[in-house]
Amino acid sequence: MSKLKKLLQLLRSQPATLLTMLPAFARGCFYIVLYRLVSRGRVTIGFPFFCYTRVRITGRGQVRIGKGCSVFINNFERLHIQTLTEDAKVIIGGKCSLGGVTIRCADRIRLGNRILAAAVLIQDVPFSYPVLSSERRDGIQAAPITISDHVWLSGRSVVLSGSSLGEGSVLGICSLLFQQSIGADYLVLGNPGRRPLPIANLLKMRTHEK
Amino acid sequence: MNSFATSLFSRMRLALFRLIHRKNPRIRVGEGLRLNCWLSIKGPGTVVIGDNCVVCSLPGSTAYMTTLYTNAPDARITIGNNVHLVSARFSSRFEISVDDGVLVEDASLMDTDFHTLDISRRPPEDESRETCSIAIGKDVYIGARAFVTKGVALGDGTQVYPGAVVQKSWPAQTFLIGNPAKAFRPQ
Repeated sequence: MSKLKKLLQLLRSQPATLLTMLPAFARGCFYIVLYRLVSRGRVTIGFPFFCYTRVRITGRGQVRIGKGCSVFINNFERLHIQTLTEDAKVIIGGKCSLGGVTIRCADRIRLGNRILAAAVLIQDVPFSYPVLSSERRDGIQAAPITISDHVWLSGRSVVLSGSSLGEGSVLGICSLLFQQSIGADYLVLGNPGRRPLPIANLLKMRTHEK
Repeated sequence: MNSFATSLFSRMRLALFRLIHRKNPRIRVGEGLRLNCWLSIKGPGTVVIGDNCVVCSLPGSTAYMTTLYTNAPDARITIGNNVHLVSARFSSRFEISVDDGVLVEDASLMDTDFHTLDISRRPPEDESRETCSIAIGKDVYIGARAFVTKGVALGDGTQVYPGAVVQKSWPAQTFLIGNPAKAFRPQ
């Protein structure tokens, strides 16, 4: 009941938002049904799925997307999830915002709830083509990626194999994470990621208000 | 069935490719080229491709065709045998030579800066063929979103990890990551 009230309030305050949300909701329903029919149980998408652009999920591995995720418009990339092997497993939590995310998975990638991401490349092997082709599969090692809840991955950043991000951490713009595990509430900058800065100290400085 | 369809489409693409470039003596292509996506060659320079090369994009991705562009009449792009170009982007003013068994995956190789630092933005004059040519050794792997700048020579078996920007030459069997690229030892 409270949800319906919220919806009515939204309609009264900002009707344009609701008008764009409705086609996105319909599109999301279409993708849920499509991937359930096509993938034979390998891909499952949680029910409210707001999809403003195209979504592409390829490969033979398992993909699970939680409830209430949304895919926003990104001019350059769409949401593209590719599983390179049969054992690959991609698990995405609920209420994530995934605009322009590219995921290439050979082993295991786990994203938590309420993740913000934009034009990010998440790849758990250094080179993805050799894993696909039978001619060149030698010495390419995969390592799992774990990203916890409330993480913000900002634009054009790259997360590579063997890295993990703790709860509430932020990956800065155009930065890269490789074989590093970051704790909770840190900001990481640089390519490759330099020493993480605690966000609580950064908020204390409040440089923008002086 | 699926592999048959892909091989059929790649043959059709190759036939179209040969038809388009039939009167261009500066483009030489070896035997057994597989075009799983479109290969775009533009510019007045020379392009030489060896035997059994594969041009493709990652399946299902929105990534783009492979581009081999030359910016000057004496520019030259040489590609060896058994090279895999996975939506790679080449732009040459002097010379880019790629040896056998190289994998280039969604990366750029450019051997010029295109413009000067001063405000006129003319083509740079201090560049020369000796200092700016790119030479890639055998079995080098170049990952996604990586960039190789001018004057770089990479030794055999070097692996450039995704997102790296290579600015100087490195010997054989090194693993490079970061901007600017630095060597590391994998565990």
